[in-house]
Amino acid sequence: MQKTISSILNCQLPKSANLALRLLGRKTVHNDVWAFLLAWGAIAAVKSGLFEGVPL
Amino acid sequence: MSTPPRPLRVLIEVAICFAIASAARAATSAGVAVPIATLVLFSSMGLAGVVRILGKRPAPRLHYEVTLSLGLILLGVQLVPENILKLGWSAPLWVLGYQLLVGTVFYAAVRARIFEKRTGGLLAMGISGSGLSSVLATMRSDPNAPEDVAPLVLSGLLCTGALGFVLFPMISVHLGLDAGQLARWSGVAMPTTAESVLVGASHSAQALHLTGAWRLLINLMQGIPIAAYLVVFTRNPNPEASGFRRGLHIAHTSLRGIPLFVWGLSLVGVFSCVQGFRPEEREVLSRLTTWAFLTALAGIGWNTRPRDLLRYGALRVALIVVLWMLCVCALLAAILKGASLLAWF
Repeated sequence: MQKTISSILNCQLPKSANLALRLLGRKTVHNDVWAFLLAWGAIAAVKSGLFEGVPL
Repeated sequence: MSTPPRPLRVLIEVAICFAIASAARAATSAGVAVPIATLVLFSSMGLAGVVRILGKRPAPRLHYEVTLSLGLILLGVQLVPENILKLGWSAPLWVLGYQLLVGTVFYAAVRARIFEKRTGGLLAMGISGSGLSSVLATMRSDPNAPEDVAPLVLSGLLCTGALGFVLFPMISVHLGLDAGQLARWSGVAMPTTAESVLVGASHSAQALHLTGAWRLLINLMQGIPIAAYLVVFTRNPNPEASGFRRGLHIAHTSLRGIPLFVWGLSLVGVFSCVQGFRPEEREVLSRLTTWAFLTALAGIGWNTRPRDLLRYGALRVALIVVLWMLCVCALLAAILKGASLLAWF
């Protein structure tokens, strides 16, 4: 059950994926943190006009 | 703890989910008269079933958590003051009333000896919109909380969420609910944010944005059921602790119960409220949000295995669903009654 809860709440990515994580000494990062970074990336891309003319 | 998935594997799994969502989108564009969210959910469930039959073993789980959180955080872009004001001054009263209703129904279930006291309290908290993260945070603060409650709450939330996701849009169409009514019903009554906003997304962009505002309010008010549980069940955790320290402890537990994506949603929402986005940017981000939800939904449908939902006691889970449906029907009646009263005036 612990596995199920963990996979739903806190499925994590390994530290080799992210140099910043290694610098911070963290093994993993929460999904929501990745999602937050992706969200601001998407916002920055939209604000810089990268999606202009892209049919979504 | 489960083994963390490799980034490349996550990317491939998200790409598979995206492909399923794109195929469903193409089908609806070609004239298939089924709501796209429903089509994505059931086509991915069907595909997973086919893979299971052909491979003669369960289909591997697909990662959907990041895309779901991405959609929820991007929903903050649509939190413009006019959408928040559309909820009305009575919005906190609706949430409080529903929390009281769920608490009363589960209290009655405890009195009828259907559930043990603490189990009933934690179930009421989870079902009233606070979700599993609040239940787990509260359990950490209550050393006497029964350990088997978390799986039961999880099963209850998954069953009520799946049932609500299928029933709410159908009932909404049958009763002719408008975007505001569906958002209020789904936003307040659905136990988890994900299914709640997906129900909104199946109706219209307006319903999706309003549901997002309702869920933000619910998440901000989840401290009430947490505080109520801790006050009732952990009366004397430390006899030397002052009332002030106890208050701090309850506040800390309440804050710890708020999922991380809610903080992200709130931050983007604040940025949005101070006119951080132009209308055309909002429009593009709204479409990206919908894609994130559809991609996540494909993963949710793929991973759903009805047999697993009942693994922790079919009868107890069925009772949770029945009690939840009582509350849901009462809320719907109140919403419809409120609309007819407004029309009368």
